[in-house]
Amino acid sequence: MGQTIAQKVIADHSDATDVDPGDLVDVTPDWILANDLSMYRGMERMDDLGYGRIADPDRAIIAFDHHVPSSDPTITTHMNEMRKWLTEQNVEHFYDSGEGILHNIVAENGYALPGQLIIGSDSHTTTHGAFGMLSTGISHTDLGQALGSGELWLKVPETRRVVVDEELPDGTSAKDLGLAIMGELTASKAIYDTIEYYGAGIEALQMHERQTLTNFAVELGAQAGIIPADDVTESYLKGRARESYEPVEADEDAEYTATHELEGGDIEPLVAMPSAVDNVGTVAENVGTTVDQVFVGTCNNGRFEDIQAFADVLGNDSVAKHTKLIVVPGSKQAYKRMNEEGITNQIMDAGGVVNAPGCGPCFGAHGGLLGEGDTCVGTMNRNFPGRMGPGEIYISSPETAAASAMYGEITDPREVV
Amino acid sequence: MRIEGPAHVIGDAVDTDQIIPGKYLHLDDKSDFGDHVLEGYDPGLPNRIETGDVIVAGENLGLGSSREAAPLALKYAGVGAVIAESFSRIFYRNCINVGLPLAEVDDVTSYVDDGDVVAVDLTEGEFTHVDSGTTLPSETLPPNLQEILDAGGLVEYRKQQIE
Repeated sequence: MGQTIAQKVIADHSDATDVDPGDLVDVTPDWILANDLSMYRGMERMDDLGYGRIADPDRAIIAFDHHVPSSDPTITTHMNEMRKWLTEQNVEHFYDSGEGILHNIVAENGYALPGQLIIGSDSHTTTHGAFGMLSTGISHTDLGQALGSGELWLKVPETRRVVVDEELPDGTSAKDLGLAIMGELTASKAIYDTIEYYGAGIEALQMHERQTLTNFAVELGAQAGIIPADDVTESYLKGRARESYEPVEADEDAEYTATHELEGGDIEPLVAMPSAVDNVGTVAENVGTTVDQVFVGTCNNGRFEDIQAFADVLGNDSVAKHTKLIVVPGSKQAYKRMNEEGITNQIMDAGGVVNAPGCGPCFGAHGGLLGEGDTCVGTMNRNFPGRMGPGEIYISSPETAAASAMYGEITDPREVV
Repeated sequence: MRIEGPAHVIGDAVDTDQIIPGKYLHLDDKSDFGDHVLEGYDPGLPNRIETGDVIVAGENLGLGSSREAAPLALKYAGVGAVIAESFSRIFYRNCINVGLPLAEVDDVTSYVDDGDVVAVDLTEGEFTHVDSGTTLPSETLPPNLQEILDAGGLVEYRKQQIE
């Protein structure tokens, strides 16, 4: 029987020659990722597990992104302890506060490569599947175990195919496609599966758009989302890839749990309504909902191109008087490009604020939390109850976020001229 | 391993933010997580959950963040086991790693009301609604994961291996 991409990547990173869905297999990942939040607990757990040293410090990538800048003295102390520990452990791939979101850094700096296996102590580690690899999230004890031993068990997943024919229409973007898939599969249909994405609508997506899509794989319950590497991947990685790589394709006769087909040309601007990621509706049916805050950023839609898409719709207009706009670049590189291209000034002139690169308020700890009764339209990936304070969250594309910021109510970006 | 206790029934898609909100994650004393367990789902639950109680949940329990604080909060609150119709992947791994017994039982919420006494035998793969005597099959763990759970989690399992 043929093998899916996930099966091949897992087999390539283990002692097994081929593996079947359901098998538990010890793998040696190419990279182990962690952020400020998970590394502190992971450090404790590594110690609890009896490991003194990271097995392969050159294969660990750590970024401080959640509590940036720190708003709590205890957290600052934790960060100080981690910096010292990471130096002692000879971790060179360490990105301190202000460099940006872990996943954005990993992509921008050419770490994520086709055929690889990445495990990361952050659920949105699925993002790197955009590069034709298996990339999945774990937590603290697993992080301690993986860092200490260099290995971790993974369950070989079943794989689903999502096929998107036709390119997306004007006024929509990968976020709308991600939300459409979310509406189709819901947050529970793909639990523990891996998703492979195919079709002309996928091939037409640029790398930043592909990351938006695979970032959403975890919200579908999936272990990973994988977009096979192609010319778009090659051209993004040219001059950026840190090492050589071998793309992996699924066999013609690979076995899939199901195939879900969507027409890319039928996609329209969508939102996830409060308070579940799969509570998907059209922007059209939510038009007129008052918006108190607009937030642009996160590992889902905080890349330079996402913020540029937002700025393109905003143009020279201002944000509605009653609406706050918070833009958080996903990385320092994105922030610098915003400065170079005048986008930072454009956002400030429109009445918005631009915060330090990182996760921003998405995680609910700082930098623009909602008050009682507030409604936020944002480009994040989660709108769980209470996640960003007591207010309610609508998840949207950068384009819909821009149109909604301008009018102070949920607005179809195709209506903005 | 058999666990029996009164049930607290929660719904589908109870996410990790509801199990332990992000603002508590930096608490140094992890046992404090238990004081806030499921606070985001029902603010009254931390006071109602007692040692030995069982959580019975719908689909996709623990979706969302990878935070291990979620199963830890349940464990430190004294929860004996979590029984769900389905589990989110990372939460499932985390339960095993922290030694929180878990069982997957189809359609379990339609058999149980709050306060009913339920039991689950993880070795036999059987769920029992004690008052009515109704039994349902439950998924058993692969033997190597069951060993980790039996040891009380990955840390304790490693200690046993090293000794």
